[in-house]
Amino acid sequence: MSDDDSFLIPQEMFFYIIVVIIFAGMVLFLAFGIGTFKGRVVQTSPQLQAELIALRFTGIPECFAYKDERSIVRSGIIDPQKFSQDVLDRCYYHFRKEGFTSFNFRLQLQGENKELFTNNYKINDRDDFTLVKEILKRTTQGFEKDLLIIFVQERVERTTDGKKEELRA
Amino acid sequence: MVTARQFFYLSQVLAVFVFGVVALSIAQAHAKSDFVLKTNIADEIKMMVDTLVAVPGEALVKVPYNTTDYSLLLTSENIAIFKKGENKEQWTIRPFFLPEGYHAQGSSVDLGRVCLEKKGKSITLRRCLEDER
Repeated sequence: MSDDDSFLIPQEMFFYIIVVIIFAGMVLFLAFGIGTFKGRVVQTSPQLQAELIALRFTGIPECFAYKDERSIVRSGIIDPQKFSQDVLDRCYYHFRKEGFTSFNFRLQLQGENKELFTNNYKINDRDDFTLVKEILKRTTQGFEKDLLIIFVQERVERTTDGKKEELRA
Repeated sequence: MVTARQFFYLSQVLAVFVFGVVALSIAQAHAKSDFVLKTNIADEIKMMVDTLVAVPGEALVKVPYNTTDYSLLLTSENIAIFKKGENKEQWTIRPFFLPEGYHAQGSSVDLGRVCLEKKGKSITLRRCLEDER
């Protein structure tokens, strides 16, 4: 019997099984690792996205921006008379299908002690982050400094119409 | 005749070779994938729409990517980026929410440089004119 013939297969087989498992693990790690890395690289900051969406609250007359007697829109100046739930619903409203994949806001105009919610905002859930905007608000005497505090929730679950009303109450 | 020992040495070489090929093909598939570019274009346009909505009056912005290889479809609900022949599941879609009365529209197929224009309450995706490039 030669040396080759007496070669111990079970011992080496065990080694190869380990090697195959490690190789498979490395391949999987590489595939998922690159995928995750790419996802992270292209991710846009949620704060930036929310900030850009929130620009409309103070920027356009369809939201809360003040429009003067000559119909000139004053960006950055809020008309407190417009600061209502009805106006917010016309300014930013989620279609139910996609409501849970985007941003939901709670707007607080500090000086007015008023709070508004976008339609899929969940009062009992925690906010993901907060944006604070220094704004001017229109008063009978002219303009006054105030703070618009915007509490942001990201990826909130879809709600039914009944629940939505309940959340706002 | 190949002995058992030689067989195992050969299988060692083969295993390394197979691993190399698989690893390279994974890396190549990721490198060839246009996921990053499609995601960047879609996110960029979504944020541009959000910004344009917040601007009172008229505005024009140029999308800072060459979109020649892609089709873009802008509606009042979302922006979709895809390549010819791709299934809808492969499209990159980013939804946005416009204020009441606003609408967005436009499409681009192999147009190269595209612009977003806001006029009144309308946002349009179109090819950039010569003096806008």
